[in-house]
Amino acid sequence: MRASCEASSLSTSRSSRSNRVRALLTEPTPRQEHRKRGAGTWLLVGILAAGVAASSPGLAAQRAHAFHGIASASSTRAADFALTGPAGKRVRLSDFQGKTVLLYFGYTSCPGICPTTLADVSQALKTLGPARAANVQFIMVTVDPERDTPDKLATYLTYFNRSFLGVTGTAEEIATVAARYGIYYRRSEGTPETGYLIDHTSMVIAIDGKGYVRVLFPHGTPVPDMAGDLAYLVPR
Amino acid sequence: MMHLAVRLMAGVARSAVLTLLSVALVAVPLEPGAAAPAIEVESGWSRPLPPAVKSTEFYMMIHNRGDQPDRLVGADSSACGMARLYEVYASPQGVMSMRPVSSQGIELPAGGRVQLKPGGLHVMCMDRKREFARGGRVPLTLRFERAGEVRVEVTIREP
Repeated sequence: MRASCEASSLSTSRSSRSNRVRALLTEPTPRQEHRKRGAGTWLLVGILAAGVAASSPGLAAQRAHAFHGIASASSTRAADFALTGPAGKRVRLSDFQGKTVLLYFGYTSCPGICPTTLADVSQALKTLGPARAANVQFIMVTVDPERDTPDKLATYLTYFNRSFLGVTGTAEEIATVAARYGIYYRRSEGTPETGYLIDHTSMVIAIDGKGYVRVLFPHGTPVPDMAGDLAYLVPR
Repeated sequence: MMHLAVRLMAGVARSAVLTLLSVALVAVPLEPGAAAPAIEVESGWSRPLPPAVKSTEFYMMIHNRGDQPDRLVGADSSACGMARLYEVYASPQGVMSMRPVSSQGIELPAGGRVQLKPGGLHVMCMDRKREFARGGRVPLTLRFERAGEVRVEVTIREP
């Protein structure tokens, strides 16, 4: 029943999408012509991949999407956690079942690495469009629970994107969750002006709506690559 | 100089004289013997950030148009309690760390350029003194071993 519904709605969406892709290919706007090939091509690959994924779930399962990020080994279940979110409310990974969760470990005093990642993720979500971006939840777990309060995290993260969520916990809670995701962090000295800094694994972990780790975006993954993979992962 | 110019231009239409004069004025060096500046800084930027963030980074492209190598050895900004040259480096496992650039500074070969960018070499602005709002401009003085101080403005914007 469900399958047949999908099949019938698909044939129409597939043809309209392929028209759109064809239009993109044959009628470049002046702006597209001037754009460097790299980003545009990857974006197009993302669009095509999304088209294949959305139009034929069976086919997508057989034919693997070539992830730009590091595809996770099959069936790696994401470890659930309970940490402290805005207003002291407990936040669990399992609260977001059905959504694609982008999990990141960072801290608000981070001078460049975290802001770069946050801005890139926000940009990738914009590329995805509001409807699909609404099916994505970005969560930053602080690796600096000593300085990052739930309020500080919320103010910081919503500056980059209103939907971003920050969680903290006790030093032990954070250490446990980070270890489960293979995230390394260590305090480094910094200067009197910076205060201490934290060396940390900077990686966005994409967890699908069923709770499986699907792809890892290492630091510096280009926005179009991230957007392309998300277009494949995030249901319409 | 004006007399000379006018005499030389005798017989030429008045508008043409004025045009030539203005070109000549623009071309007159500010001080005798001063050449075109060897160091040129392009598209300096820093990310808009919430006020609570006290450390941030400045990025830019620096060209050395001269025929002598130079080194960027330091930086200062009234917007920062302290500015230092820093570099981000990653371990093979993806752990990101930062360290100050050595006292040797950042090398700029003659005719070469170096890009300060996220995830690489940059000017770290510590103890930020003012808000970095989108569209704003922040003064920055770069110190070069040979070229001396070069003053630039950094735009607060997304990359």
